[in-house]
Amino acid sequence: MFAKLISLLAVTALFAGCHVSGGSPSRELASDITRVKLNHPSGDKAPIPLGDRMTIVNLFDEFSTGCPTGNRFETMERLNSLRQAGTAIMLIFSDKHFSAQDLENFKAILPMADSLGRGDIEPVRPHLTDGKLLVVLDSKGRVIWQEKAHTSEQQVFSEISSLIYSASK
Amino acid sequence: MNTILGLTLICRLALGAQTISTIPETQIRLRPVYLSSQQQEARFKLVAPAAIAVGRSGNIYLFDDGNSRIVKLDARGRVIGEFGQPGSGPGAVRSGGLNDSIAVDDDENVYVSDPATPKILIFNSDGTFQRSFRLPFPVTSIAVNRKHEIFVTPNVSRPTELIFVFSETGRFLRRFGERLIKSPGSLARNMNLAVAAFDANNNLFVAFRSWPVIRKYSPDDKLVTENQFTIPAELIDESQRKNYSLEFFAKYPDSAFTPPIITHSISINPRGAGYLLLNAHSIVVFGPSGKVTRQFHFLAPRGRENVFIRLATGLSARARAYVLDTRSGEIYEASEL
Repeated sequence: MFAKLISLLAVTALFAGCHVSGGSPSRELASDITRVKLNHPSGDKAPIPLGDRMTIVNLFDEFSTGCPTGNRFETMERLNSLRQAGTAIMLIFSDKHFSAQDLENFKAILPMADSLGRGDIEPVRPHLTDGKLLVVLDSKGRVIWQEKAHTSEQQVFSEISSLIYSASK
Repeated sequence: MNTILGLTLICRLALGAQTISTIPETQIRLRPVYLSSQQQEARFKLVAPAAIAVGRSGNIYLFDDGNSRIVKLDARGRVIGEFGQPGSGPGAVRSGGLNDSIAVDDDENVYVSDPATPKILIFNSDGTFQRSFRLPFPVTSIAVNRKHEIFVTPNVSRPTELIFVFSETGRFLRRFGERLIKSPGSLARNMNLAVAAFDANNNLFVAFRSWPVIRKYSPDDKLVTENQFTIPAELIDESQRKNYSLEFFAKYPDSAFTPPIITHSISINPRGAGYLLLNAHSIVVFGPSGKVTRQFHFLAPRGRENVFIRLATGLSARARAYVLDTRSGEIYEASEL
């Protein structure tokens, strides 16, 4: 009984300070996201690089009509404009559905070219909603916010901008 | 310098002051090519067809959106092929709404912009899937020039150029063209939607979905002319007239406003005559310079039951002009165009 209580306290402590309105961060997701690997031009694969304070990561598998891609890009651009020192933003496209040329095109067309990457996102596939997932990680790679299904772009922007603001204090 | 400023001002004033007038009703002969009576069998049935293009051979290619496929007809309306399929994987096309999303090049390769994923798929004329590439935005129109460069008009609210160009292998090449409204916003997004088509000399003609202007761009992407057409008086009421201006849209780029016109499609024939299809039952005819020569409402075989959303003609002498009714899935040849 005591051991269970300790475990409960430990879990509670782990998530203390989390902004959970976008959905409860899961331990599985935290573990799975560390297994996402980015492709580098050299051919190497590397984990998602973390910001000193926080990292905002959007993983794309397939785009869907229900959630126009343009809106998410625009949300990420707006968040990028609020970004403080120590906060990183990454948009990672599945290498299963996006070619190296697609990524080069996106870098040439979209703002935030340095934040765009391509990689193996299979470990987080079970967590995707409408073919995508937006998470915010702390400096140790723990999930402190996670996108929930049917969250509006305005709500996503509002909640993550609050996190950026809090982290800057 | 003063002259340039003066000309710019005149141009702006001319664009600000729209011509609103009644336009004549004209009977044009619409010859049935593919009627609902020919679509009794499920495999022949079109469901919410969204786009049509005409190849050099005279064959007709339809984006049958509701069935996630491309249907190939000969000029007499016989089905001679179908390709693409729903789902995922190479050659899959998802249903995605009424975008002007099909183009055919000189070699009769078929380019389809899948608005849902979004991506461009390329098939050869017998339907063999060649390749696809992804886009970071949905598009409203696709056109291919004689160099096989692919021109798309994006559907985005953030400020960007009007036209994006890709190579036939899908490499991004360049972008150009000013948007009508440069502010970001949902209304600005809708006002900047555009359709595009090439003439036989690789000039690109662009018409905005809800603003009465036709632009002509040279083969090296330079704006050559910008010409207005008349807004049919019966399509615009007093309240719309008051706010139907680029100044209003720029000032309130997120406001709710229902524009009086919808330009469904643009197409150019081998002699350089161009056609816009407006509001399902009106046609604007323009010459090789983009200057409007004629504008009229036409009488449809089933009256207002027909909802024509595309008018397409090809660039070869054999190609005819067709109108597509998305509601019934019927195609008629507009033999007098």
